Amino acid sequence: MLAASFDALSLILDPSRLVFMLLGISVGLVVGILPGLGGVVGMSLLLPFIYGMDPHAATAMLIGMAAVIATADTFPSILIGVPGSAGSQATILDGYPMAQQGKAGRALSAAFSASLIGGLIGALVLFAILPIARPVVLAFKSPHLFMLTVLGLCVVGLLAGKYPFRGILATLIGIMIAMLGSAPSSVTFRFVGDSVYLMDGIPLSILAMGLFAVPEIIDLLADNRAVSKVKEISSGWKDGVRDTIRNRWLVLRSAALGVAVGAIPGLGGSVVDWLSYGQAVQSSKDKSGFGKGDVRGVIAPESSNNAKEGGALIPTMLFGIPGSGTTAVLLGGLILLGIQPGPSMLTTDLSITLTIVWTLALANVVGAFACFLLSRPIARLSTIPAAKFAPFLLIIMLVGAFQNTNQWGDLVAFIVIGMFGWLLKSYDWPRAPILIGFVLAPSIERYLTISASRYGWSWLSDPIVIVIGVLAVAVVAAGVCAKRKGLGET
Amino acid sequence: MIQRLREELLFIVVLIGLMGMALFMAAGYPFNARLMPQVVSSAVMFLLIVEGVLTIRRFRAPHSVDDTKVNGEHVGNAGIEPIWGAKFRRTAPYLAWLAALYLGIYLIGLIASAAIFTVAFCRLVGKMRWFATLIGTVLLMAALFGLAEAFNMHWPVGYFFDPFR
Repeated sequence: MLAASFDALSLILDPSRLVFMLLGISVGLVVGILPGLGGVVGMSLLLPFIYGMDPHAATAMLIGMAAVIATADTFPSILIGVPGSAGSQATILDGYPMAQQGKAGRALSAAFSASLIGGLIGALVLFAILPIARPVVLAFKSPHLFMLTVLGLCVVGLLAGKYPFRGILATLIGIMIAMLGSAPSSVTFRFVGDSVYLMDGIPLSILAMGLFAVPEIIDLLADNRAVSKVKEISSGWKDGVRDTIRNRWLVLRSAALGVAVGAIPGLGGSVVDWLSYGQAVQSSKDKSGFGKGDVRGVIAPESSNNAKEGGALIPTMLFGIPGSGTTAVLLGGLILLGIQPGPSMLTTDLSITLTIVWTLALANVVGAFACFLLSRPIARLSTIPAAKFAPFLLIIMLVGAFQNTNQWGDLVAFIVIGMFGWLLKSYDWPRAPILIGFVLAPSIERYLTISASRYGWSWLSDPIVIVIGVLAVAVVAAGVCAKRKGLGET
Repeated sequence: MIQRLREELLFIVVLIGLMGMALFMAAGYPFNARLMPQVVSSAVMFLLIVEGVLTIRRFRAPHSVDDTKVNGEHVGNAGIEPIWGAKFRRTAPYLAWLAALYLGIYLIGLIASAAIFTVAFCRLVGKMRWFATLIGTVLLMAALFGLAEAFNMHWPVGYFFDPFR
């Protein structure tokens, strides 16, 4: 295995392949920096170009792109309070307040260093776990996956916002929005009326941009201010790295959590940062700073969302079960290249598997250093008054929104959701849980339907289901009590 | 504060109405298609009622939201001021700009209206100099055409006239 891994490293360091990995990393950086776009969009952009390519070069390009998005998406999360992708939502909670306090440099630096370490741990775990992961992943059945998803949603609902019920409500509203369009287990179009556009449902990127970007831009313009309230951004770059080193155990815990959650199909990207943020809050003695610009609230989600890429690749490569949206598109890419994910990834296609592991590690290193280099010029953007950049951002978002279906409905949905997001923000309702509920709704419905049709209602008496259910109830009860006592105001 | 409470309650009532409508519509779907929407919309309606009661209690509590700065989800500066008062008056001009952009896209397509919108907004709202405005607009247009060329992207064309159709 070790000899094969060095062979794979020499393959990937071949200049003709290295250039494709760097190309993938560049695309990933751009996609990550642009708000609302994520790994799925990046993968979709690159997919048409891999036809006929050398499999090692093509996988290096795709994995290189996917690996750095979780690093680059920190820029919009911290600088303008808009998640660069689904996995960087929790970073906003403390990263954005830090930017407002003029500590954008420190926040970015801590985020990149934590991302680098998290990404490397993810790659290392992927390498170590490949031969032994099969029985573990197969142990999860539909009822367990359903309950795990419910548990994830409960945690998310409680962690977001000031009031616990609003977070849970927002999660459920997100699930309801996802119900628009065709039902997965029945030939029925739900809540679409006569609208042809709604038959395919609301696209995720439109929901994300509408909920987050539009309200931010409107409020920034109305308040006539820049993202950062402070004119000068303090340097703080070394402080950020020191913060990461000081919180090394938090980084390691978050990375381990990232890998574990990433490996569970359906949970992955949109929940891991919230779970990691939650464990950072719970494991801290002093919780008062969270939500107000505590660097630990940046380090934990950033470490885990990079590490989860390694975890998400475990079920993707071993069983052909994508662990996230990004790996779902990657799966399609591997099949296009003639590679059949499954046990053969550990035998005949071992070199491809090891190429993926090495690319994951190298891309995290290159991506983190590229982000460090780009930090200063991009961080200065946060001091520019909104009126000077809003028109450009708005046009780019409108163009991005229109790419979903090329229909006017995209633009209408964008603005309607934008106004809804503005009302939610104005009335102090959390918006991130809506997005997470929306993303996980199809999985929940699918797991519930499969569980009901496969096991009837007997799955409710499964010991693992009961344990996870009790855990979910305990989490909700503890969260509500903590928030009511004012302890959990994250 | 009373106006803000009324607004928040109205918002909750509208959401309850939407969920009620969803519950009613779902009743006509087959079992597999109606299970999730019925369960979720019922839960949402119940929790919205609870939330409505809690909101009233929060506003009537001795240490109400007046006493603290409400940070919402810590993005931006949500506060306790009513939305349909001074805040809406501050926001309305920008909503009008947005409406004008949409009207422009509908009439003359995205590219032409984006160019006009960017120049007008940068000059009139951003108070930017002509040079910076034009450079920014040209770069934006170049980026749009570059993306369209590279990824075969499309944009909305105008209903009546579109120079870039």
